[in-house]
Amino acid sequence: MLEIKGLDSGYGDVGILHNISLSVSDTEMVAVLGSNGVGKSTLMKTISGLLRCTAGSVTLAGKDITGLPPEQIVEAGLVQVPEGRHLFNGMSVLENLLIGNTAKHARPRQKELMEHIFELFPVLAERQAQAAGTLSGGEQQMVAIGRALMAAPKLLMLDEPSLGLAPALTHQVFAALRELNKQPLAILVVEQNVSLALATCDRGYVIEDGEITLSDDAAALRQDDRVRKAYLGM
Amino acid sequence: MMKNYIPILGFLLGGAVISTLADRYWLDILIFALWYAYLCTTWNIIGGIAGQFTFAHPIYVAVGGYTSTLLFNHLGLSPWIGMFAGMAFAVLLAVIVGWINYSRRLPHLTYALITLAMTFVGVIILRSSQFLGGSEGVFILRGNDPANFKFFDKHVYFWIILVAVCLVLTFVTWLSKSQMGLKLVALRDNEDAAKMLGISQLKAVLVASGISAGLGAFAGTFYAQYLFVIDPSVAGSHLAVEIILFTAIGGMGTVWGPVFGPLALVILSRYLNAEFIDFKGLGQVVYGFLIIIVLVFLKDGVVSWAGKSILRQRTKSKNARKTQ
Repeated sequence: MLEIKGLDSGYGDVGILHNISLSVSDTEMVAVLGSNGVGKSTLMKTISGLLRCTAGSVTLAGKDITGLPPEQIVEAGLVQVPEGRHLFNGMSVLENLLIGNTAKHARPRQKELMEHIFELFPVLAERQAQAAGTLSGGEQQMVAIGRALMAAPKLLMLDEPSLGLAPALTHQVFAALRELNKQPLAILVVEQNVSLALATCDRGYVIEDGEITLSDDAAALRQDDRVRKAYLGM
Repeated sequence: MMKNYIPILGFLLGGAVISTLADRYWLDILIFALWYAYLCTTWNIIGGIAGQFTFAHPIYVAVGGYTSTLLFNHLGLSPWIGMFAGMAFAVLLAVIVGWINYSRRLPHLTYALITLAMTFVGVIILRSSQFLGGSEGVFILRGNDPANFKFFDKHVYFWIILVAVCLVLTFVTWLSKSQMGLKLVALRDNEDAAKMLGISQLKAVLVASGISAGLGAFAGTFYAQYLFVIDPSVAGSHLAVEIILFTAIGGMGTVWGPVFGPLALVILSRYLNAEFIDFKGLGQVVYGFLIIIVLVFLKDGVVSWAGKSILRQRTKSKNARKTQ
């Protein structure tokens, strides 16, 4: 589904990512792991078109999306849930969801997509009319995910979905992602909570200083000494 | 949903009643206050709702006024029709400027500065062109000719601009609840998140600025037909500053702020100048202080402040009822 080859990116002249290559197949849920400031969010922004890469290529479902503006990348089927949720707080839950319904192929399916989201997160159906800013953190994350799903993505990317959530809610969010993944929906998730990510995802990539230093099946990574020491505190 | 439009009807009827009571002096003040309200409401579409600061509104006003006036003077085309040509030119100009800035993904600041520079260039072009009448501007022969947008009775101008304000208000009320309006607000409040969802900033700016400019151009035709002259002063950046200031006082991004702000301030400034006629400039000083006080203490403008206060009162009385 997603194929990244030799990607370099950064801000202005400051290079942050070097020679990143990774892939996500149609049915996979893949994690990008690493501590703060190693370039995970830069990678997300580059893939979704907010930042332009300086080298390399990004291919989605066989289509080259390198250097396209963000709206065309969404149109191609790749939608990102931003870090820290970034809901439009003054708007209602329903309006937040409607605003995500931008892609041409998703617009005629608005009703069906909405029903599907309410099935996945029943609490959102109850809170449709409520202002998004007044929801709890977990509910806000559900709106952020729902909003992205309204564009009927082929690949969903999430940047730190556990950020600022209580452990129970984090588990709930990841359970929902797993559920989505079964549909199938390809998922790429950036996560600091390494143990949770490795428990949920199929495969993982570890980024250090803007480079991928390790990649393997989740089970193998859980057993890897370097991962255990650096991220799992064992 | 219909209840959002009732205040507009009330405004229209209230205005009509006031017009029958006002004398010529006040009628003139009210016409200008409504003209500013029209400018602020149209500017608010791109400046307030979409959050793209632009100083180019006076340019669109000038484009509208000069186009309809020149078409009338040279080709005898009625300004009722010529105004649409002016509006079309303004849309074209706004789309070009928006495209120059946002197709290159330049920041908001360059957009603001480019539009500011446009007002400087615009005034100089208008002043130096013989065809455009130089500093004097272009005159229209006075007369009473309804088919050509000329009236002796000031009431007619009052009604025209009142209806224009109400029509734009109706549009803005609809827009602020539409999918397009939501997209504009999303881009304003959180640009990155909006882009990640596939909202095209370029498209949104082009649509919002085009509509704003096109509607704004009508204010130029109205100005020319009311004063029987259009001159370079309407294109100046000082008008842009007034529009932005009035809108900020009333409440940027709200539906009614851009109407309330200019009505209150134009009337207040005329009143203060008349009151302090013996102390030249004192009226302006009081006026300036009032503006600063409102901006400092009400921050988002009078209308947003009033809206929040009403909401607070409601939740208070709700809670009080619950505890009883």
